[in-house]
Amino acid sequence: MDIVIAAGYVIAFVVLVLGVIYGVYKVRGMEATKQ
Amino acid sequence: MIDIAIIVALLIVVIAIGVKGYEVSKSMVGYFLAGRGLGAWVLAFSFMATYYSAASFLGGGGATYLYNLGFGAWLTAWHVIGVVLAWILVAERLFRYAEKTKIVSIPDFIEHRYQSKAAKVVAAIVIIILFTLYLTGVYKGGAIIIATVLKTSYEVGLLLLVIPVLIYIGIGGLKAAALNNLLLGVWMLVAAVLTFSYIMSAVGGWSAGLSALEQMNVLGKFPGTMWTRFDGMGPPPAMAAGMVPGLIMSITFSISVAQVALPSLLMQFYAAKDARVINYGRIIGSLAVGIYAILMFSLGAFCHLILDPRLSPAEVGGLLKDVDWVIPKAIMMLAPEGVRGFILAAPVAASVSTLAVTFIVLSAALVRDVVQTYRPAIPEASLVTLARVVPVIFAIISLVLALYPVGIIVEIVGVAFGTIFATFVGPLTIGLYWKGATKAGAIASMISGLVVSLVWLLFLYKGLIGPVATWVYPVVPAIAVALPLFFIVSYFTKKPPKEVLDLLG
Repeated sequence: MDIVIAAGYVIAFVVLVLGVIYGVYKVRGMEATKQ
Repeated sequence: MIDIAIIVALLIVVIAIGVKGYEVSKSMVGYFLAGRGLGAWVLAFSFMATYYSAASFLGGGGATYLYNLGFGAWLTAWHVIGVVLAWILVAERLFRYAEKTKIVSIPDFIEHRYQSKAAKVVAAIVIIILFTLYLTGVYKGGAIIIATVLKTSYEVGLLLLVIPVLIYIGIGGLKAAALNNLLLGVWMLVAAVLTFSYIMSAVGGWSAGLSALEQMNVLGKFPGTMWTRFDGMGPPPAMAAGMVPGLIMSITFSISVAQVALPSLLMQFYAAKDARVINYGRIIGSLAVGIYAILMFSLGAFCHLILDPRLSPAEVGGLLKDVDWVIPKAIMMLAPEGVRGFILAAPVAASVSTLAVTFIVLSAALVRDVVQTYRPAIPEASLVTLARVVPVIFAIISLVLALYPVGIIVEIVGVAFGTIFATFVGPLTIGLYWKGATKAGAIASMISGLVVSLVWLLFLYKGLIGPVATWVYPVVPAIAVALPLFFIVSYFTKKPPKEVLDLLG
């Protein structure tokens, strides 16, 4: 598999993980503010 | 028999669930925005199920039967980027704006943000044109599956698909659509897990499947290694022109990033119960869209290992021309009855969920943004009644168009998606952040995005009319014209008042 194809899969995984981490960070921030 | 029962049950259950939306749907906000009361799971899965039509399962799943795996990889990557950006950059800001201003539709946002009734009406007209075209692509996949499983005609399949949707959105508006979308979205995700599992098991897993694919020779003229090279396999004319990488990038980009500017998705952010819903929805929604993309979009290439040894060269050639049948054929060979029905119901579920919200957006564009704008004296109850009925008109228009299908589903949907993105990304998405945007810039951007995309598709994309074939997807020139116009015209024209711009945060 050439590198451009592999890059697509790597970007998909990395962005999804970062997006979820950001989401969890925002939720925890919101819950902390509420308390 | 079990397969038929599953699909028929699905179409009955969505009507039953739709009744739950009736009580809340008696006002404009109730009908179009579920009374601004959606929870995180419902909103997140409604976003996913609205966005993914049958094309995601059929065209998206089968695309790499024709294209090299770069198509699957970059379709997945752009989808994940699109959904994460939509939930991070657009969701909360648009929800806050709607909460403060009580706007109901996307053209409402355009009117309020740019203080212009003309911009609102242009936005409504663009939505009506593009979403009516988009509907025709959405119908095709679901109707073909219904017609095939129920052994009936395509026309009957179309009616069996559309009528339940018209009934339940007529009864319960967005609340009915969103509740159903939670069920349908979960159904699609489970079906994607099953489809991925069956295909990967059949080829011995990802790595073994790739090795076997590279040793194949499809139809005796396409070596399997062409599926693992980004400049490898694609439509023969694009291969001859050396345009496969450009074609893949422009198609996958235009289909995927539409999420940040698609009115049928963004309008649902107004319907969140509170900011907490947006925060939880950001996680659930990104995962739902991302996992589905990862599971589905690369399967077609592996289906060569399953289908080609069992099919004649003519049948393989037929599938290369119409990849929509690749996943259904593979599932028919691999899954037992019952499971097969459940999986084949997924594109029906995807069609139903996308149709429902698209009808509601079309209804809002006509009733809320055109009729109420020019006839403000009409009582709200009458407008709500009109909103329940108007989808029937759009259904009839788009059904007529659907009876003359052209090309593969992914192309039709892709062009509409890309055009919507090119049309709204400036006025809607960038307009949420850039205070320098003006009504003249917004109108210029919307009209030019629509015109350039359609003209390019007809005359310059692949020679549909005339001899010129650039193989550059229409969204690319549409954005290249619409976005600079948005900035340039805005720069030289009058800004909205400060109190409006302060609402942007």
